[in-house]
Amino acid sequence: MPKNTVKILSVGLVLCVLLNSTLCFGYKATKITYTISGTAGLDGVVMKGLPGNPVTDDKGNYSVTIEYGWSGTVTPAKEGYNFEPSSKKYEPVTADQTAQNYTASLINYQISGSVGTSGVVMSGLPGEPVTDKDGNYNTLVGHGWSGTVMPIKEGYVFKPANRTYANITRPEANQNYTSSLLSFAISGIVTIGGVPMEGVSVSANNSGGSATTNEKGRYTISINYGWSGEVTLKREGYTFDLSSRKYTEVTTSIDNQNYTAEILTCTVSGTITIGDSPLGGVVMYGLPGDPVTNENGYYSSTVNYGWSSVITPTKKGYNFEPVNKKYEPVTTHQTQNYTAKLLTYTVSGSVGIDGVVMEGLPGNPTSDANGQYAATVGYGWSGTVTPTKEGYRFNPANRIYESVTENQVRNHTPELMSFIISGKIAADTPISSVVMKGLPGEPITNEEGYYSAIVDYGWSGSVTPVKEGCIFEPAKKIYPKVAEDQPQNYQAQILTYAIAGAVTRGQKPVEDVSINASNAGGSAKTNANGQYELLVKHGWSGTITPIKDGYTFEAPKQEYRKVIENLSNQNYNATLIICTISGKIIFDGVPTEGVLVSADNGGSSDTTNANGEYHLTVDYGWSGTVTPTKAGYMFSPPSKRYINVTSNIVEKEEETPKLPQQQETAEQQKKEEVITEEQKPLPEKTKGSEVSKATAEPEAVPEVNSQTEQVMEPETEPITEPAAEPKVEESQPEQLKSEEGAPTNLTTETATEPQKQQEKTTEIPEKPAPQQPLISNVFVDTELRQVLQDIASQAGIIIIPDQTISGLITCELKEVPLDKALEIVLAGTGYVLKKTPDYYLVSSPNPKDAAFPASSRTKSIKLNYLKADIAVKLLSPVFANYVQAYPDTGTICVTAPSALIERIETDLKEIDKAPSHIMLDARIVVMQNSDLLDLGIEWGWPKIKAGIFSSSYIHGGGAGVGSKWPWGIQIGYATNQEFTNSLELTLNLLEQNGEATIVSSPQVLAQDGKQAEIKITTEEYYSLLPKAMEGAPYYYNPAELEKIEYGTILNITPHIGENGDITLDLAIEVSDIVMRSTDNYPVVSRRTVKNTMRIQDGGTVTVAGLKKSETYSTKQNVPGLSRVPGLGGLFRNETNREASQQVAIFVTAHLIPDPEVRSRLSGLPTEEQKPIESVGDEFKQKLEEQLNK
Amino acid sequence: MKPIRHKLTNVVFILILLTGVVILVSCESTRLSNTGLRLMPLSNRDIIALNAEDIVQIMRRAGFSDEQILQLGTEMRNSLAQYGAVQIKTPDSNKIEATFAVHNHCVYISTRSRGSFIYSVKTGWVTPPLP
Repeated sequence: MPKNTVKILSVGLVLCVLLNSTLCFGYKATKITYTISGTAGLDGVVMKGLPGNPVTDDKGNYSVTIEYGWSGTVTPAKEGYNFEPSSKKYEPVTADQTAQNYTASLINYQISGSVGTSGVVMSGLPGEPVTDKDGNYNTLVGHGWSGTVMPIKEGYVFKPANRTYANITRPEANQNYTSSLLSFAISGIVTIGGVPMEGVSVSANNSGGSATTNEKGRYTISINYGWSGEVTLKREGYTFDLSSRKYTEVTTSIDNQNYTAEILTCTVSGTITIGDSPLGGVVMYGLPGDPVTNENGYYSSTVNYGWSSVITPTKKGYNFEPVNKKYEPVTTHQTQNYTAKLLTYTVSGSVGIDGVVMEGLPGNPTSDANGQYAATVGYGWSGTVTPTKEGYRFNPANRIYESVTENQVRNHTPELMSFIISGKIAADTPISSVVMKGLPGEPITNEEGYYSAIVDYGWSGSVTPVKEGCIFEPAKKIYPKVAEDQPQNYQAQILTYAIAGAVTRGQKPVEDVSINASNAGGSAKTNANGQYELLVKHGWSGTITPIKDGYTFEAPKQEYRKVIENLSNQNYNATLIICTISGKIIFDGVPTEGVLVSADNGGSSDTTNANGEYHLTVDYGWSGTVTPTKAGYMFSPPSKRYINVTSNIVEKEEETPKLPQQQETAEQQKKEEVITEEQKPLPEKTKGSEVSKATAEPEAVPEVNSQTEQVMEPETEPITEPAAEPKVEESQPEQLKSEEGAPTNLTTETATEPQKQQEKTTEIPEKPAPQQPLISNVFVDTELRQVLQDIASQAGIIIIPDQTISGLITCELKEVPLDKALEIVLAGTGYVLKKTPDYYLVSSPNPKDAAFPASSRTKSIKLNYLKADIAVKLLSPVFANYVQAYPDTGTICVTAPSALIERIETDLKEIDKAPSHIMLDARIVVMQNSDLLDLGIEWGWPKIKAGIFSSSYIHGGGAGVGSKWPWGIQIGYATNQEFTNSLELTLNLLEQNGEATIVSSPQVLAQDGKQAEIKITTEEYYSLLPKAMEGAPYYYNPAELEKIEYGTILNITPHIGENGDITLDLAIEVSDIVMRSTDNYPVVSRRTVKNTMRIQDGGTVTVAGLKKSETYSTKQNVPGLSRVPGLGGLFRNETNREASQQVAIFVTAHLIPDPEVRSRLSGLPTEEQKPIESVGDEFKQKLEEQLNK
Repeated sequence: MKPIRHKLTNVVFILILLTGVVILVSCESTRLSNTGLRLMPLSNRDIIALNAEDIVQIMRRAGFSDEQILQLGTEMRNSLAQYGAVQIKTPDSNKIEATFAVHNHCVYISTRSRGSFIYSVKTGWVTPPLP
């Protein structure tokens, strides 16, 4: 504090003390007082203004003493009360003032406010007022009121729930409450496809709440107490199983009010047209699944509500308007059409000359004066364009366009056309060396009668075939204007000449002499006059030889050279061959002399000499009887019969029997012995051949039946008694065969012509048949059982027919041996005969018959080549019940009667032949087609015609070697070995020149009739994963390995014909991968060919045209230099070349000879070629001479 | 063990000899004629002696000019007589123009640009003759 301030305060204080002490000194007085009293009605009322502010007592009275002249205003005051009057004013009081009363009244305060709802009881307030219709309330409370006010109404809650008042001393306005009804929850879950769905709006009307489903799909909405209304779900693009639920007076919460949603879809569709036509195959990229328009150009796709994308129609070779279509979120079905327009390209080039029609191009345009052509084609156009102009051919002859996608410039080179005039000249056989006069070069037919000449387009002329000794039809052929190949055959007629004459024996003509001319001169036979005539061809040379058995000819053969006229009186003198029959007659070991031996039927007679010998002469082929006679003697045999004597016969010594016994009759003495041809030594030329036996007639008469003659075998004793017990060999099936040669003389209704033929001829038996009783009988519709019984009785044997034997027999047997008789009787019945030493069994061959075990036997037959089961199938079904196959061992077991076993065995031998083998030699050749085309070479696939095919061939000139035009490669085609040799040479040349590649040359040995397979393939494996199943766990996706095979597969089945030709059934597949998809799956192109061709041994079958295209990319650069900036381009080269390759398959078939043939061939001496000496300059001179010709 | 050493001079000498042999053999087996064609004999099982007329026919058919035939004909005849097969090559293009091979008394001719033919010494052209 400043010093000045302290000084001032200290002075003031001193002054005050001095003043106070001065005033306390004066006079003493008494004051007059008065009383002011009254009541205020209440105790404790402060009477303000009165001195001392007296307070009313408990009765509400007050009294106060005031001084005279007091004045003032008295105001009663007590909190919470008002007083009436509120105050009294006192002027200077000069008297007592009583009954100065006041009336007290308590002060009320208003409590008011709003609850927002009418009818709310304001509990706690005095009188519990109720809110009016506006929800307001208003009430009075006394000063100092305390209490708690709570608004109450059912279903409502209020905020605040209550208000508490304490000692209110002022009005309380705006005592408001916020009322709200009681609220409850309606909740649930919305799902779609079992999955919770978020974002669905759920709302309740009538002041109900609303909510949106959360990520768990749950919603909860709040509604008021007693709410009634409807809950509605909504989300754009979806529908719900219940669009809404209704509720009435809800007084509690409700859960599990679930809903299921489904997504809404819309269709996007339309049509794509080009002009007025629909366009199919357009891919609608952008739409789900990239749909493709159908043949009506229509596309359609279903999209989800709200889907958005840009759709771009795409198809190679087309533009579309609009190019694309953008879809904002799609909420309705959409239709959008497009208009397509085809892309076009130009195909043009040069054909060298004007007026060439380019057939195949749209509009078939014609080349202009400069030889240029052009045409507009649509994208992807494919076709074959062939330039045509009369008189010209073009190189290439045509071009194949496949799916044009850019402008094409292609040239064709014209060439004046030439044609082949060719044909064949033949009579019965091809005529060679015929000069075709009039044709260029006057060609000559080759050994096969073919001629050929090449002429230019428009050539005209007259062609005349000329050859000595031939005339031709047509004699001349005129060609006015050749515009195509001219096949022209000529029928030749070769002039023939007659060679005639006669064959005589002395003066007598000789008939049936064969006149044989060599060198295909034919043959003839002399007629009854001994005359003959032979026709030979012009210029025939050869020999003529007369031939007849038993004759010799004075001139055995006549030689002729180049017959060009008729020849007559070409006669021959024949001489008959004389045969001798000689023998010796002995009696008791002594030669008998003087026996007259005479041969009838033109034969001579002779008397035995002292040695008992005789010699007879007979003509060649003589047949007759030789009879010895001498008085007092009888001979055995009494005579001998000879048939067809063709050589000298020397009889063995004959023992003259003793004098005849008494019972022998004169006829018996004349018994003859028949000597058949089989029993005589045969002439050389007839040995081994079949001879007639039908004329043999037995004349011996056995005692058992005077009407039956018995054959007398020369080496056997005569039978004097019938064989009561014929000796039959045990189960010898061969016996039946051997007896077939026995002489028979029978007629039967069942005998067929072949059977008769068989009866007439048979092989010469090596030994005489055993003795058998002869059967003679006639049966007409006789029961078989009876027939067998009769034969058994006649032969004196036992024949047992089994139970099944039945049937009627009609036949006549004349002196037929027993076994033959049984064979005849049983022929055609199907029954079989089994012979045992004691009896004959006739039974059915049916295996089910009881007699089958007795009549059958079993034989195992092992096969060499065929499988047993297959062989059984090849047998006749008739034998099926008798055979069983064992494929494992290649054995067939046969259980059958002996005759059937023989037959089955014979059939099996026929069936079980060694199969032939064929060596199949395949060559798979790939040719770079573009290379050939670049070179101007036309690859001509094997054709029937062969050789060159140029029209302007000039010896030694023309295009020359290495020329590119107009020559083309052609391979002469024939199905024989020559073609194969030529093919091999040509392939070798092409391969060395890099124009062809022999990809593979497999060989396989195939069996006749069995398929052989050649595969040159590559296998790739791909894992295929199926689309995951909806709802399936991802960890279970089974995969599959898929094999894709490509390459070349040949299936060849060869068949060998009877003439050695080979027929090949070919099935060829060539496949390769042309591209790969985005998933690296390959797109495989397959070309298959099936055909059947016939070729000769060593021939080749060709399958061509299996084209494939590949793109080659070639990069070349000089190391280092190619990377120099700027200049590097000079040292780099990159080319992309698309080349189409031709795949050709050649299959050559060679017959593999049988082992026997192979061994025979291997034994043959090989032809050794002698070395050939070289020639020198003299040969060059000869060449020059030839060239100058 | 003492390593084996070859004298360098011996090795060089052998190489020179081998080179000389190779040159001689190549000169002998392939000759470049004045016509620019090279004739190469090939060994074959069959051989044949053709006369001048045969040679002219088959070479003409194969497209050779008179000059070429005159130049190569004698060698062609001798090659077919000694070896049985011949290839004629164009050095420029290094392509084989024609191949002649003898088989079973026939000459099989395959040309690069004129096709294939068969000529029989006994009967002439097996394929149709030229006009």
